[in-house]
Amino acid sequence: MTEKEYLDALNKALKWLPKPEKEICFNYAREMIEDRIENGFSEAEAVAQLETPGQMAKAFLEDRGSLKFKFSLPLNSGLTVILLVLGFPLWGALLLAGLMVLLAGFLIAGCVPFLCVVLTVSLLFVALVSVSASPFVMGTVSFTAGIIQFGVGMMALGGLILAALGASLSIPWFKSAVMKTAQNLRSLFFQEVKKW
Amino acid sequence: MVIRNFRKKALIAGLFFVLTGSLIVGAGLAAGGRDALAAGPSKPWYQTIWIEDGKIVVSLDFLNGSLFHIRF
Repeated sequence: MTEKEYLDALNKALKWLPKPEKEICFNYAREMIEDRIENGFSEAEAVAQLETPGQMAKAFLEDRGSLKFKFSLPLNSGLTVILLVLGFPLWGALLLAGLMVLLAGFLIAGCVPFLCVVLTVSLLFVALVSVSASPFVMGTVSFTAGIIQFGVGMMALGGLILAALGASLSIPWFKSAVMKTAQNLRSLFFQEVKKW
Repeated sequence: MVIRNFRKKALIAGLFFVLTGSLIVGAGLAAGGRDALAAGPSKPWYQTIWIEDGKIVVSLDFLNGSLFHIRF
């Protein structure tokens, strides 16, 4: 396969992409072929070493996150549209209620990482002030009060480490839960268009 | 793997500091610190633990508000 044939095949695999995006993929393929030719390979050998045009197109699209989706409800039928409009008070209310329940769930779940971050910041200040000011408390208030304040500072330091750990675990978990739910919601109404 | 080990170390360090701090606070209270913690009118702003109305307060004021405040 020559470079032109490879690029033509790549063009077919990406035919529904906008031209500027296609050009990015073409330039990448051209560079890969030219690099191999500069290393002493023939044009056919250089092309043969690349992925197939379909594989390259798929990898390119997945990398750019530009998979296309289409609305999955058959809106081309007039009857469906009429039924959707007439049934809107029922399905619209149910959909809205479902979305509100989902939103409430996200707000409650989002409290966990939020609380962890707030605790981390506030305990950091408590630990800093408690530990650094404990010698002054020993001097101005009483020695035992200073010792207790130092202990409080140590506890706050431990608490902030645990809260930061909680934040580092709960933030990715929350983000992943939101992404998965959004994907599931999208799959209810949209279908992925596969071109290969 | 590195992150997992780091989290394990952070968990151990966090628990260690909490336990050590608890022991120090306990020792201070056992040594008669409860009387010393009674907040008077001259309580300095940098004192983060005191006793008020018979309850232990751990608090830090920040910009005319309380950044952290618990009573027990």
